[in-house]
Amino acid sequence: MAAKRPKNLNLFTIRLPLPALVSILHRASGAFLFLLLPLLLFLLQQSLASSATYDEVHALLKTPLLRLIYLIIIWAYLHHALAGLRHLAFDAHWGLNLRFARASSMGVLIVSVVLTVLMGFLLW
Amino acid sequence: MVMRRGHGFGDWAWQRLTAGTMAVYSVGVLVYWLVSPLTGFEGWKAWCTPVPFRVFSLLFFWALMYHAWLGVREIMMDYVHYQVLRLRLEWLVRLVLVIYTLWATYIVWSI
Repeated sequence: MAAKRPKNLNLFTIRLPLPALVSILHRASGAFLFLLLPLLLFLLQQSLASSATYDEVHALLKTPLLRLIYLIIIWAYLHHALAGLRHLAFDAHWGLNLRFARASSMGVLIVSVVLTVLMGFLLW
Repeated sequence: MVMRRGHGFGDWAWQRLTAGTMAVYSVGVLVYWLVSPLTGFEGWKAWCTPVPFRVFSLLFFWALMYHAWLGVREIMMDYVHYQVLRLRLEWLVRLVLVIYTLWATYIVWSI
């Protein structure tokens, strides 16, 4: 099946336009959040189980490593939601031109990082 | 090539409906948290106890699990080309998500 087509799968030479980056991050963040579900459910359960387990979870979430991890999780959630919102605009045939597609993908990348930083400040 | 029934507009609409549910819930929880901040274990428990909060949390978790199913299946359709393997993986994901759903429901139920 089309075996003779030239292939370039060298990831370092493929130019990745912003909309493509947002698209792949939408998928990657979704998969990442799916894989983390058991951990998040476990932490929620422990935080509600008893005063002692609550303290454990609380102390755990204050360590630098866990802080970094939960910020990444928050970023993944926000990016996924905003990229999804962008898709809803496309569903409504709104902004289906290259300029808007580029501008909105840039918007998704920037706003998700800004909101993550904001959440970081709120949670610190 | 896999073609299944009920695999078109319905999934498309459900994916968006569940996403909207989660988005509304997330903004709601954020506002709730900003107007009534958390204080310790007792405060956290009291924060989670009101029935409306629990009902919305249940809706959130159910929406989340179904949304996850639709998304993970889409990813598998793109990357797992060996059909027998994909169908087995789909069963596994369904099973795992049903367990998560029951687990999440139990957590919210027993607050």
